Amino acid sequence: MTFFGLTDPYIIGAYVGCILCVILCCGWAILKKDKIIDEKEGEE
Amino acid sequence: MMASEGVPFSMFLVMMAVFVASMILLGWYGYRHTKDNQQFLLGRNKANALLIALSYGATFLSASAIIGFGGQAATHGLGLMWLCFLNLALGLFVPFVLFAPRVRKIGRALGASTFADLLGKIFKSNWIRGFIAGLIIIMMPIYGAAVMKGGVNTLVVLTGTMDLYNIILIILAIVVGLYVVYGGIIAVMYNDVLQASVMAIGMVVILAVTLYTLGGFTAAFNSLSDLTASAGTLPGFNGFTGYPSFGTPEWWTLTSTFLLGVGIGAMTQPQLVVRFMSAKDDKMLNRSLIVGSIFMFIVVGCAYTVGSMTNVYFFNEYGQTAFPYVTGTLGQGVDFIIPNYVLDVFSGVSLGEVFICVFILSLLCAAISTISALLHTIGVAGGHDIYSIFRSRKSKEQKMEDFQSLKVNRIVTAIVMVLVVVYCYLMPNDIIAKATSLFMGMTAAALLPLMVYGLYSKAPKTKVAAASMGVGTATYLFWALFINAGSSIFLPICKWLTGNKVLFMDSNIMYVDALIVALPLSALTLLIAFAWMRWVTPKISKAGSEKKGTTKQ
Repeated sequence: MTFFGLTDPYIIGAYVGCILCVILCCGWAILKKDKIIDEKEGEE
Repeated sequence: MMASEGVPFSMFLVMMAVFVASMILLGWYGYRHTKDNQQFLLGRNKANALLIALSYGATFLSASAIIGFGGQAATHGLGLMWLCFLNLALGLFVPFVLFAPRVRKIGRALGASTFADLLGKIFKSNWIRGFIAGLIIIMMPIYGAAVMKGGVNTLVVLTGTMDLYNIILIILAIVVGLYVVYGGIIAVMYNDVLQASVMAIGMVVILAVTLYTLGGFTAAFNSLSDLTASAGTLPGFNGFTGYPSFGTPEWWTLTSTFLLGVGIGAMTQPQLVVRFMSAKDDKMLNRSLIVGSIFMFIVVGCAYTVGSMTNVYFFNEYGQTAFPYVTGTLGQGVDFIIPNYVLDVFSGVSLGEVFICVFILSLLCAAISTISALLHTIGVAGGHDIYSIFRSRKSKEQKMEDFQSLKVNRIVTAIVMVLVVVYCYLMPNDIIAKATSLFMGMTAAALLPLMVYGLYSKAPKTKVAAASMGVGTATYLFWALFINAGSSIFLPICKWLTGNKVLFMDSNIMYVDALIVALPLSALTLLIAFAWMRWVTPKISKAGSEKKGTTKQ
């Protein structure tokens, strides 16, 4: 298996892991339902 | 006047003038909005998602990530991309999801303003607060100096102004010192946003030009696979596009020092934890993951990918890979690989001088954003934490109190800046990546188990925390100074005592990073101490009270 010319699965895994992590972060940010607690103390 | 080898000096001066003016303007904005000591420490507690994400990202990713680890990627290959993954997973996702909401909530409930203050108040211990503040004051300037050296090194190479090294170093220190001392965290965070934007643009430009020069990803990786040179690496190196063989010196160095040392260490960075306390609410913390992750992937991914690809470029142009060409032919260190590559590759591109200026600016931004955050963190560790402890010891009540003094914070921060400059002259060259790893590893070994325990325990015990922190710190220091060959260069006590660089020469153990041993021991100590306090101590005291009762009868 080659990934843009890379063949070592450990290196391919690193790139795929990075992309999955970005997707996870974005997914979490969008889908996470925020609890509305102690919000007032954050306001000035 | 033209620089000897580099961008035209006039272009560089104009660029610097605009950049410095922007920093001063944002510093002035911070100054105007810093009305008291609390705002100097944490701002106005209404940081939005973009501000948190870019401030966190710019502080996290310093010149060390781009120049230091970019140079290491040129030497050790694409295995460094696992550090990009760890930065995203352990440096961003885990802290934002597991730590940030609790840090913000507990920090506000306890009225904590700094990292040491937070943990000190969680454990109700001035001793823990003082220890953490001391650790920050002693260890963090090493990291700060490494970052500063990285920034100035690049600047002088790219502008051909090696003879102005001292002046540039001092000017940079004064500008950063001014905006941190007067603008506090508000100036630091707003400058971070500006600097993060420039960093991202600079890294995308350099990746684009690299791919254009080498014929795209596939062609560049294919060429990189064909290179077999291994200068600068240790036994076990499997080429630039392969991971080292398991258990070899190269594997230990890459995996334990560069990947785990920095990857895990990023979770307990005091200068980053403070960002969570500045957030307006939990929603902002979650939202900031979008921009934060994309920014981090762009900057780190580009730096390590381009770092490795420089081997193809130098081989095509000079018949040597990056390490032998830069360290041998040019007589410079690993930290100069990326700056030399940028200077070389852009010289053949139209508008190359403008691109070089953008790159210089992005590296300067990377350096300054981190230095300013470190400076602020070290300054408040002295000017707020140590000062409060000192004042509360003098007061009769001997309880945990906060003594707020904006003036003291500013004075200590200015002194710290001078200290960082002195460190720059004392530190050896080519240690940017190792100094980063040392600081991050040390904080993780000493503070990670304790922080997790403090944030998640309903009734955290001071003795449990102290045991974990003591074992983590002592083990890390012993291993770093006597066992690991890479870190023992910082303070060669072992050489003074035994005549050898480390205790076990010619053994793979000298490549094992201190964190690999110290962090598990610190965590294990915490678990044992926790179990002891939870189950054994009550039984002993119960038995003691029963015995006392029997005697009385």
